[in-house]
Amino acid sequence: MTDPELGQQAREILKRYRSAESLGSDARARMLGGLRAKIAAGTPALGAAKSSLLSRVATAGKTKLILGALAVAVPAAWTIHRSQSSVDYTLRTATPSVPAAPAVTAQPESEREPKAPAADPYGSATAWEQLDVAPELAAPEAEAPASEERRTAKRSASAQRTPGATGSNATTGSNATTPQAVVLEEKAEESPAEAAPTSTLDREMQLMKRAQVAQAAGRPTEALSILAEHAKQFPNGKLTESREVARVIALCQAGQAQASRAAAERFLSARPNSPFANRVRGACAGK
Amino acid sequence: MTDDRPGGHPGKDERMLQVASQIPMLESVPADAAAQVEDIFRAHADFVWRALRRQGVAEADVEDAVQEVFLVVYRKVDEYVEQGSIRAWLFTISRQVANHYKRSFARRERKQQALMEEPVRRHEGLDAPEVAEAVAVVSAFLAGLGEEQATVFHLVEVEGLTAPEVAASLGVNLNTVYGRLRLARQRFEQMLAERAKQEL
Repeated sequence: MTDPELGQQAREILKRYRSAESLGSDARARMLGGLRAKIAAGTPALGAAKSSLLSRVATAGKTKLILGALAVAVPAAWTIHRSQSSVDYTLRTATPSVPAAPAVTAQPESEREPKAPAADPYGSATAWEQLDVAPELAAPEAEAPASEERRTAKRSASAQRTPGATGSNATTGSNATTPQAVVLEEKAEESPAEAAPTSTLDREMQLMKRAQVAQAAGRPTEALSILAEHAKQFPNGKLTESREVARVIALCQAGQAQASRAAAERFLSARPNSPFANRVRGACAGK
Repeated sequence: MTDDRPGGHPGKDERMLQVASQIPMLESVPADAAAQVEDIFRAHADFVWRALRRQGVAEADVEDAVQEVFLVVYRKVDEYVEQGSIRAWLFTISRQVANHYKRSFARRERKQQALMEEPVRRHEGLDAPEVAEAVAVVSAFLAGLGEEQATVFHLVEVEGLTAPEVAASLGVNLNTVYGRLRLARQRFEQMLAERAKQEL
């Protein structure tokens, strides 16, 4: 760097400073290794979605809030998820490839073993995860059947979703020919007429889900008005945090980058430890 | 209760749209993002590491923060168009990540200042005296400078970014950058001159 204004001595000192202030090779290797692992954890191996997303959320937020905040996590999952799926997951693939219906239907059973990404119908991966991950996130301890039962007893509405979702996977397996079809079935299952929103939380979730659908469909304006509706009905609702995250993302999607960043700022100063802090921060960066 | 449920579930056609709308995004994504990120890491890890430390990320958090920066790079690498310097872009991300770490861990950070951990520098042993002195001098100088000037000085004089790159990265006017740089340079020279006097 040419520097006409600093003298020789000054430049020499800066050079020494720079040489000392550099990474050791151990630290460098360690970081690269960690980075690789984190990236690999984010690859859209459908079967690995559960653990990778959970760990990613944990890493991103540096907080275990998510584990405790069951109610918040359910709908919040989609915001984080949807946005990550459009970034992380999709980053891994250039082709929204072949339907590969068997792979899709096999998914619930093979949750334990990650699948080769190549075999995944990515077209469905993103949509899948939006729907599938929410219950997983809601019950990070879902592997323990006991807690699943507790949940069932506690809130029938949400309990119906999890087994329901699995059920639909099984049934669609026989007749689904495209990932889209699976998704549609899945979604149909998700809006059960029998699970009428009775509690406040259920009604909150209904709204948030509608906002999610609108946002996922590329209708951020509609999502925003649904979120505004939520804010009006439940100014201090249980899903306030999720709503704010969703709003930051939707604003950005709607081209209101400035408003999005302003909302993000407010969010971050009010909730610096939110598990969604990173998500919010990155929502409209560079736009 | 059921009636005041706001709206119903969207129709099937809308759901179809939802699926369809994701397909173009999928296609626009580079398949080799991970490889790109590793290349960027190899070339600029030191830069990011210094930027984070400079901006007050606690020693114990720096490695995590570095990874965080490159994860953001990984997520956004397709958004990054060659619009200038990659380092300006990296610095912008580093700033955001650093702010996060500072906010989230402010309390912990304060605690840690008492028991400062060993930095992960290349010279694991003792630095040569002139190097140790340079580190002490420059660190003290940057610490005593206002944050704005220090950032510009660091980016230009230590990292070798150009003033336009710095302006782009900080989102400030180019003349502002030149102004800060000029002042910082003057102060640096002044400080060195005073030191030289004291040593005599």
